[in-house]
Amino acid sequence: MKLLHKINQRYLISSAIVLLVGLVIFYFLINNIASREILEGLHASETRIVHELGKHETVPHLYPLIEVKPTSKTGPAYVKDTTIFDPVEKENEVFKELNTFRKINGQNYHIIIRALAVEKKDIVSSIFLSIAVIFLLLVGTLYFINKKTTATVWLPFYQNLAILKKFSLKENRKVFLHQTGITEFDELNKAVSGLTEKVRADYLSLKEFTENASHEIQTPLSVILMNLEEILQQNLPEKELTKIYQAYEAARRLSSLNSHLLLLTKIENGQFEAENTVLNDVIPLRLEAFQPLIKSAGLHANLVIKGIFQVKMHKVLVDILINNLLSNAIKHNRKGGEIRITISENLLEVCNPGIPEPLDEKEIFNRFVKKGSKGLGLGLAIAKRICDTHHLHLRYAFAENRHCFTVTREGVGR
Amino acid sequence: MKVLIVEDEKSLRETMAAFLQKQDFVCETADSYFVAEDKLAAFEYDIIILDITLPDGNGLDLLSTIKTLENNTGILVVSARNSLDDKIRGLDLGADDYITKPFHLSELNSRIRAVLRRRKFNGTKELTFAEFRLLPEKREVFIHHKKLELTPKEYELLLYFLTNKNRVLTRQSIAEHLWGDYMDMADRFDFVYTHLNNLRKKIRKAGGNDYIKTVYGVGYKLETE
Repeated sequence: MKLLHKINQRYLISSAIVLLVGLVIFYFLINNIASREILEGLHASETRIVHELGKHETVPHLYPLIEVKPTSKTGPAYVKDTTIFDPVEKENEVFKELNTFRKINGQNYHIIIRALAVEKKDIVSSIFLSIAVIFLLLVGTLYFINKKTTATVWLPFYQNLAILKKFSLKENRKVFLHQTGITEFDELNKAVSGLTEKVRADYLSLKEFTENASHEIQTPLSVILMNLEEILQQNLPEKELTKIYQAYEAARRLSSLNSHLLLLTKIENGQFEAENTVLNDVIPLRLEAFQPLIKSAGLHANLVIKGIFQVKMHKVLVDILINNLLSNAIKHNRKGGEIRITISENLLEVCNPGIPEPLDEKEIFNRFVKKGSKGLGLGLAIAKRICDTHHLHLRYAFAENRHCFTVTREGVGR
Repeated sequence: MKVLIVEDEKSLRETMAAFLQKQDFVCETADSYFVAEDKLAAFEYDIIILDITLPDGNGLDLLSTIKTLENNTGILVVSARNSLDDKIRGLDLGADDYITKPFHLSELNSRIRAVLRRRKFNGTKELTFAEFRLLPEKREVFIHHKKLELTPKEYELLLYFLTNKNRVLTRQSIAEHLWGDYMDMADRFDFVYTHLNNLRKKIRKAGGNDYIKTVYGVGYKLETE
């Protein structure tokens, strides 16, 4: 829920409560004032009637407003509400009536004076109506103000929000936020700018550290590997040779891991310049390079060309991408299986049969996920990274017992 | 052949020197930019192995010094940074080749030989061994004067063995020599095995002897005895 809506909701709910309380207060207030006024009027009329009776001993009979009857009864005056059928209005009306007993010129009179009472439901409905109108006006005004403020006051806020949404450490750009001229927003901007700056600085220094550490590792690794390699040259008994070879292989693996991680960093840093490359030219060459391995694994490769797929990518990366996809298709293939490569204008697809169940799509592109292979578990992670940094999508799908990896252009449907 | 190794890491320098001496090179070493500059002024070398990250300067700057000497010296740049920029800059400044740490000594040897072949013999020299005759310029191989039809990878593999005779070449070293750093490790051994088997078959079919011995669990070795 938007902040404005939230505030407005509170505002409207409290207004409604205040207005309802007002309605009750108004009702009692108006009711009270009205009855007092009517009563005052009735007493005034009575005084005039008594005055008339004293002078002329007769007053006009005006039913239902004035009734004067000689009577033998005496008593104190009282006021009551009665409902009488009004022949003029042709409906029952509520009247306030004042009953007094007066002795004028030795004659007792019962004087009844009535006045139309203001009906309760009329009061309620008129108050309710006016309050409803006020409430509607309030809602309308709020809506109007909101629209205005969203367009003006909140505009810089939304602009800054859009900037922050685009913020990515990988892009290595400073965040510049608009000045809003509103204290709260500007303070928030200051805090956020400081935060992103700090995150960026930390990220850069961490990256630099990782890179330097990786590079620094290479020299001692060289020393280890060279010396082990020299020992391997000696005519050692097989037992010793195996041990040294194991140490050598582990050091090699470490070195390979290191250079692959460095490669990933370099891809992320965009240190490979993009150049126009046609995948259709690269794939046959890569396939040829893999041919001995494909043949020895009893596999066969089929290349289906439906169009020309051109990418803006450094040649080294294109090679790595194709290599990783192909070697993946070879490694996880079934005996005698097919590797089907399809190229069209916006799609590169590498499919192979393999284990009869789909792989976890979310997991396979993560680093160090190996799925029973002896590799480093970085091949697909690197392929994915290469695609991600070149406006391409790398996806995995399992259909008809075939595992397919597809490279598509960003924004182009399959 | 005279070689100068410019490398600040003592252990690496000594290992390389010992290895190259065994390969019949006359070795000199320098552990800093300063010493290297000094030696370059005083002596002439056939090839210089140059580490670009030195404690007192960038090895790339030495390249221009070497170039002004105009003495047909081969230069092999060594770097711990597998960076394309360094590579391109090094090659632009006149280096003959570029190798990234960590590297195999057999690989170093093979690169040095290639540089020397290009520099000293203008690529015309042929490499002979027993019944093999290899023409690097044309990338052709003959056995008993009969041409051997090899794929580019098989040719490179044979050349790698011929430049590193009597040395155990580990499967890793062969794989990296043929395919570079970035191929996934699991495939590589199968790859090496497949290519080597094809090469052996072709040699035998052409009437040659198979001098390549398998060193069990480690790699392969071309034995001359």
